[in-house]
Amino acid sequence: MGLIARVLEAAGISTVSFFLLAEIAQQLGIPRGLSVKFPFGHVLGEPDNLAQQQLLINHGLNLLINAAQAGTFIQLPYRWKREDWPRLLEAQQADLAQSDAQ
Amino acid sequence: MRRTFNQLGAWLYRAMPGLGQRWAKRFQVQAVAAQIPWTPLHGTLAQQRISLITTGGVHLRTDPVFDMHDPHGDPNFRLIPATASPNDLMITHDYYDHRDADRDINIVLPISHFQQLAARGTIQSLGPCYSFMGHITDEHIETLIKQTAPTIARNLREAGVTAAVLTPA
Repeated sequence: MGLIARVLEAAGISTVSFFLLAEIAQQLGIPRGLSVKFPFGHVLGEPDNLAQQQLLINHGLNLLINAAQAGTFIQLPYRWKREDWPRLLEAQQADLAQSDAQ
Repeated sequence: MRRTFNQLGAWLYRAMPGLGQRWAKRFQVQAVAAQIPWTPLHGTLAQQRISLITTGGVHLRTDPVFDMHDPHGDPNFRLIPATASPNDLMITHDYYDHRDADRDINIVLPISHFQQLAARGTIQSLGPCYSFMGHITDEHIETLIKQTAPTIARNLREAGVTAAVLTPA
């Protein structure tokens, strides 16, 4: 996956890559990456958990827009099935609105 | 027999997420280039035509399935049109437990979310999406880097895509 990101980026397409295994991702040299500690097959969370999925997608798009240099990597702290996702999404949207206003 | 073994392995990794982290530590990742390629993003999010790329083995129900009999994986890709609905899609991949993703494809390929982002104007549009099968080893890594990925890069450029979001299985 990281290999694909590198090929696309070299061809002039900006990429942001999600990972489940931060160790591998960082060794590969990823242009923009973020990781979650979720089980395989669940990189954006649980089925039908819209708030959780949106929260993670927003993190990805935010990184795509704001990363200033190659190799920017974020390890997201979220715990599998132990977060209040709607509340986290609300807080994130408030943060994003505030940074847009600045 | 091999497929049953792989599917059992996938179930184990699903049941015990810590196993996956341990598996990763065993890996000697090759080809760590000091130089990381970089294409700065031009313009705002609302000006981006974005494609989704997954290694989750997703494909149209009408397309041929990925080859699960080659132990080194299937280095080919499948095109997923931006207009595809989750019901048009299925997963062929024995190396992870995709029962949850079968229920909601968005946890490996967030196509419904990006269709909505495009409809709302948060992004300019959703471009053509692509899926690989992630379990690629040995000689097929070369095929992936030298042939498959460059072909996709060319297709995306021709489709006017400016950015891509990549998600693993």
